[in-house]
Amino acid sequence: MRGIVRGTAKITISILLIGTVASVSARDAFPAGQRVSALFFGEIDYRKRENQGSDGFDHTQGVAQINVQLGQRFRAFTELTATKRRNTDLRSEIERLSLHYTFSDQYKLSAGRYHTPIGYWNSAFHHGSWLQTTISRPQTAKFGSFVIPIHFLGALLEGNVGNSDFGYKVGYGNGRSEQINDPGDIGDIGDGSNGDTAWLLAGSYRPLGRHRLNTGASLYRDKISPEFGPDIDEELLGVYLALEGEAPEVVLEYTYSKHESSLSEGNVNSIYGQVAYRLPGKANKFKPYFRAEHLDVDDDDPLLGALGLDYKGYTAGTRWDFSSYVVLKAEVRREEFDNSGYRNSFWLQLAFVFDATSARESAAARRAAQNRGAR
Amino acid sequence: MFRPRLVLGLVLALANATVGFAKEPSVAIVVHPGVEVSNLSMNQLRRIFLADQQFWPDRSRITLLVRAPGAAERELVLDQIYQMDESQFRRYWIAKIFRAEVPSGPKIVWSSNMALELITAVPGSITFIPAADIDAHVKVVSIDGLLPDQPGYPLR
Repeated sequence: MRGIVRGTAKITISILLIGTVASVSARDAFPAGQRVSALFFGEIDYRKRENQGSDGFDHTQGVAQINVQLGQRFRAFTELTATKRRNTDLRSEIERLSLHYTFSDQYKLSAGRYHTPIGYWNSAFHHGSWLQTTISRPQTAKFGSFVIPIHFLGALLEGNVGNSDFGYKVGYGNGRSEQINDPGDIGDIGDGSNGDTAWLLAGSYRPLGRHRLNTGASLYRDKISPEFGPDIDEELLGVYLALEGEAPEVVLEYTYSKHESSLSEGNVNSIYGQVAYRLPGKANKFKPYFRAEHLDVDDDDPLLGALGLDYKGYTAGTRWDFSSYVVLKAEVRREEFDNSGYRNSFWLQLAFVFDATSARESAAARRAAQNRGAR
Repeated sequence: MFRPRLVLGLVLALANATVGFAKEPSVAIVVHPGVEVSNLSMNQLRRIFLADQQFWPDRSRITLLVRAPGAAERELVLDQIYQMDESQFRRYWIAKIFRAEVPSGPKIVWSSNMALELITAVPGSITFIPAADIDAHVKVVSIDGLLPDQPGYPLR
């Protein structure tokens, strides 16, 4: 517990330092056309699991995002995380870092490290715990997942298709490294690697409307050179449908992957469905939710078959937005890992977001309006 | 069977309804004078305010100015254009920034005066003000071919 407190203090100090620098810098230090904005997310998690020790306050995480507009068309994006788990050292990481050049709404080119845009959850929420309704992520997209490559290091071309509600992404990058849950940051080339890069193609359809439908599909291909054994071809298909409103909020996501080596081949099927509903009237600070998920890995799968990743899980809980920027979530999970019988657990999460730029600009605008005398 | 009182009553009721309709407050969409757009469809307007469209047809960047919470015109825009309440609106922009789809949220203005000053000062800017606050120096954009004082105008 003392380690968690120390970790939380370090994370808070780091976030405040970064925030102070970003906000002060943004105030007036940049030439015309340049602008800095910053977002900070934080979370503190508590867990109690059935028949298992090592429970209690589990981990804290702080996330700092800094956006730098470098002119009309250039901008840089950075996301840093600092995580303190019980009995581990404070770990910090550059989660995302990318440089963007925007030609138009139809063509936006960027290079850097991303959350791989496969399916919905991985790019919609990722470290933004305050944003996501639940505490837990679906098993397929959880941190350190082997099922999909969580990060992607390379280049992306994306945009709208004409002036329609359709969008696209085309990516070309390093793919998975020898450690298959790493993104290949060290380069998917050289010693022990195959030199083949990965590519992805994604399309989405987001029509305007009160329920904010978002649906799409993505395809990812890579050749993986694992630490042991022959090279493996990987093909991954993700499809999703989401209603991004509050009443209801729905996410359905299916991921299929196929792995082939000279020795064997196998498939992975993963599906989950999540429904949440913001209660009406005076209870509108509460949003109950439920999610069911299923992950099935062929025993013969040359990449994932030996890892015991089969999973079934049910999650129910509620989110309480007791403040505009702070939320408390409580959920119970009933899960079965690798066909070993169901286990129950209870989780709590306190999550917050701080929009440094919006807060600063609002205060400045308010002062300016007061000085002029509002109409 | 002519009934003058009935006809008079109907005429008065119709006149009253027309006056009431005309007095219904509406919100005008105004842009920087250099923006080469004079009409937007409601769908285009939604895309711009949702930052799904971030560039004008001449490829200049769109700067969105949005009135701070508490103003009646903001409530109308949130309802008619965004189709969200305040908490959804806040969450929408945080998510948009989080996903690196925009560098920042809209610029906040605290009064119509401030909106009018900025709209002439910031190239490519777009905002909304009460139609009653329009003056001769402002470039008002029609929505689906209609201006705020015309019947059928959608933002009222």
